Amino acid sequence: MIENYKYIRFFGQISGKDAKTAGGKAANLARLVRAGIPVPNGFAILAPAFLELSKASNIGEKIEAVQSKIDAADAKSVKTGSEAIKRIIMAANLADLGIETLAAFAALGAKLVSVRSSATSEDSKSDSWAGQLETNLNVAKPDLIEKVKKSWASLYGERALQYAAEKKLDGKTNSVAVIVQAMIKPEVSGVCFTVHPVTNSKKQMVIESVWGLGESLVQGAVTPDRYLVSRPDLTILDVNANSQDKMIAKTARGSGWIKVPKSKRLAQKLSGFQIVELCRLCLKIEKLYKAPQDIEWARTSDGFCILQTRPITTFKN
Amino acid sequence: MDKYVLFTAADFPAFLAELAMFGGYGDLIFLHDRFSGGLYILADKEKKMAKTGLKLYASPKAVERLVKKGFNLSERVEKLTALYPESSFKNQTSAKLRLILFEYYKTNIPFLKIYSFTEGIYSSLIDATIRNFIFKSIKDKEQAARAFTALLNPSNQKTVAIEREEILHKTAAPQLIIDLCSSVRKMGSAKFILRSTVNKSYGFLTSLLKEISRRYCLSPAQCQACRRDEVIKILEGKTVDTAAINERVKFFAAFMKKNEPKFLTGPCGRKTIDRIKFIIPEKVTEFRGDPASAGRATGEVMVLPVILAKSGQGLLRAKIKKMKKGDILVANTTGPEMVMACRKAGGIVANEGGINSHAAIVSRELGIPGIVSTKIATQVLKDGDIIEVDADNGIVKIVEKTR
Repeated sequence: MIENYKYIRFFGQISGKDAKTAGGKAANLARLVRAGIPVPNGFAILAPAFLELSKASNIGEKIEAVQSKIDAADAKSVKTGSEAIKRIIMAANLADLGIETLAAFAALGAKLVSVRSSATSEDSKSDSWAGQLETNLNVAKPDLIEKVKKSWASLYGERALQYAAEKKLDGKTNSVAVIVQAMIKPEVSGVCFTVHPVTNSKKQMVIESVWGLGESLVQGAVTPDRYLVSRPDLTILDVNANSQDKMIAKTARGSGWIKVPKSKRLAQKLSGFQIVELCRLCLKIEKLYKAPQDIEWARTSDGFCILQTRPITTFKN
Repeated sequence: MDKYVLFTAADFPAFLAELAMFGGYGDLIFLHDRFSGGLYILADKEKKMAKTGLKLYASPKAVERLVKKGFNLSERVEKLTALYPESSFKNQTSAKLRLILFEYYKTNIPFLKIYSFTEGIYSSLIDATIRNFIFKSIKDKEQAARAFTALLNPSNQKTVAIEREEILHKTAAPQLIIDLCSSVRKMGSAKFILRSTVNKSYGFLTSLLKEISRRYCLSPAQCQACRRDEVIKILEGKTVDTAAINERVKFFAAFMKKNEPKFLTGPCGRKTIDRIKFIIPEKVTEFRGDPASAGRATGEVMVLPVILAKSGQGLLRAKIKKMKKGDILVANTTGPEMVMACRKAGGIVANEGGINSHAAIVSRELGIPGIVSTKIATQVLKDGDIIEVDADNGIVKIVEKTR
C-alpha cells in the first residue's frame, strides 16, 4: 500500500512539505506530473530517510568521526576521508527502508530504472556540488539498494567534503533525496526550445530530434533533424531533416552505439502532426514555469514523455 | 558529351517544376539546389526550339490564332482564381481543396503551353534574323539599334507607328521581316495580359499550397517540394513518403522521361547537378545578354525579387519604394507587379527572356536601355553595384562593386 510508505513518495504524491525533503529535481518532476505532463513514472526516497538511518545505526557517528579528522588543505586527507565514508555507507544495513524501496520498485513495474540523487540543501546550487551527485542508468532490481547507497555516498565526494570543511558545515546540512525513475526505451529523443535560442524570437520555437537516446545529441555526434515552428499558431515554418546512420540505444549492458535500421535512416524523425503535438506539450510546460524552457523529451511507443525542463539561460526579454 | 545551356538561373521547387514540365516546358531540365538552381536545356534542343519559334512567328495569322487561344485560356484561369479567393481556402474541406487543385491543373496546363511560346527560348532566331537585317541595312550602329527597338515596340502611339513604317520603307524590308516584326509586336502586347494571369495564378497556387501545409503540418517548403500526386494523397488523408519529399526540399535534378516528370535526388541527383550546372566565374567584370531596347545607361543596381504570392508583396513594394530614379532594375524577370520600378529605372537587365519578354517590351515602351537573357545577372550583381548597360551591344559592365 502506497500510503504506508514512510520515506517514499511517488511523483504524483509529492507536494507541499514533501517538496523540500524530496529535493529540487524530484519536486520539479512532481510539478510536471501534477500539471498532467507525461514523465516516466518514479518515486523519491526522501532526504530524512538517510538522516534517520544515520541515527538508528551508528553510521552518523562513524561519518562524523572520519569527517572531523579531514584536513581541508590536504588533498590526500580529503581523498582518504571520502573513501572511508563511502565504505561506511555502502556497508550499512537498510532494514525497513530497503524493504520499502524494493516494494516501491515492484509497484513501479519497470525492469530498469535510473537512480539519481536530488539535492535538498541550498548549497546544491553552488559549484561545490556540480557534477558530484550520482546518476546511475539502467539499474535492475539486484543492484537497486547498492545504487541508492551510492547516491547517498555522493554527498561525501572529495569536493563536497573540502567545501564542508572550509565552511565548517556540520553533517546536518548535508542531506540528499534519491530519485528512482523508470527507464524508458525512446525511439526518438531530443530537445525543444520554446523560444528561438539564437535569435531570442518569442514567435518561434525550435525542436531538435535524433533516433534513439538523446545522448548522441548532447555529444554532438550526429546531426539532428531541426524543426522550426511558429507560435502560438503552431504552423511549421521549416523542416530540416538529416539522415542518421548510427544512434545510441539500449543494449544488454546499458546503452551504446548501434546502427539505425536502413528504412529509418532518411526518414523524418517526427511527423508534422507529432511535431505540433510536442509543441503543445512544451508550451504547456512553459506556461507552468512562466518562462521560456529548454526541454529534454523522448518518444516511446506510448507517446511523448518529458525528461527534464529548465529555463533557457540565455533568454533575454 | 551532351552540352547543356543555362536558360535561366531561376530556382523552381518540385511542384512548380512538375507543373512547368507538363505546361510546355518539358524540354527543360530543372535543377534545384542551394546556390546553383537553374533551368537548363540541351544545346541541340535549344536550336530546334528556336527554329520552331521562327516558323511560328513568320506567320502573323498563326500568332494571332495562338494569342486568341491564349486569351480564352487566360480567362478560364482567371475565372477559377476569382471563384475561390485566397482567403476562402481556410473554410474549404480537404475534398474541396483536392477538386480545386484538379481544376487548377486542368486550366493552367493548356494556358502555360500557350504562354511558353512567349519565352525567349523560342525567339532567339527571330531576334537574330531581324537584327541582322537591320544592322546590314543601316550602317550607323546607334541608329540601327534604335531602329531595331522601334520596329518591335508594340505601342499604339501614332508617332511610333509612323517611325516603324518609315524604317520598313527605307530599308525595303522583305515580307519575312515585316511579318516577324508584326508577330513580335502582337505577342508583345498579348504578353502583358498573359503575364498578369501567370502572376494571379501563381499567387493562387502558393496560397493553396500554404493552406495545405498548414492543415497537414508540413512546412511550406515541404509542400512545394511535393509532386502533384503526393499533394492529392495528402488531401485524401493517405500517407506519403516524407523522406522522399525532404530529399527534394534539399536538391534535385528533374526532367521529362517518357512524358512523365522524373526527379533525381540523393547521390544520383547530386551527380547530375554537378554535371550540368553552369559555374559562374568568380570575378566577373562584364557579361552579355540579348539587346532588347537600344541605348546606354550607367547607374546603381537594384535587384528585385520575383514575388508573386500576395504575402510577399510588402517586401517587394518596400524595395521598389527604396529605388531611386535612374537605378538599374535587375531581376530574374520583370512583371506587371514591378511596373512602378520599371518607370523609375534608368535601364533594365533580366536573367531571362527574349524579344518578347516583359522586360524587353517594357523597356522599349519606356525608351530605356534593356538587356535580357543574361542568365546570371541576379547572381552576379548586388544592390548598390554600379553598372554600365550597353543595350546597343548587349553588354553589362561592372563599374564598381559595392562592399
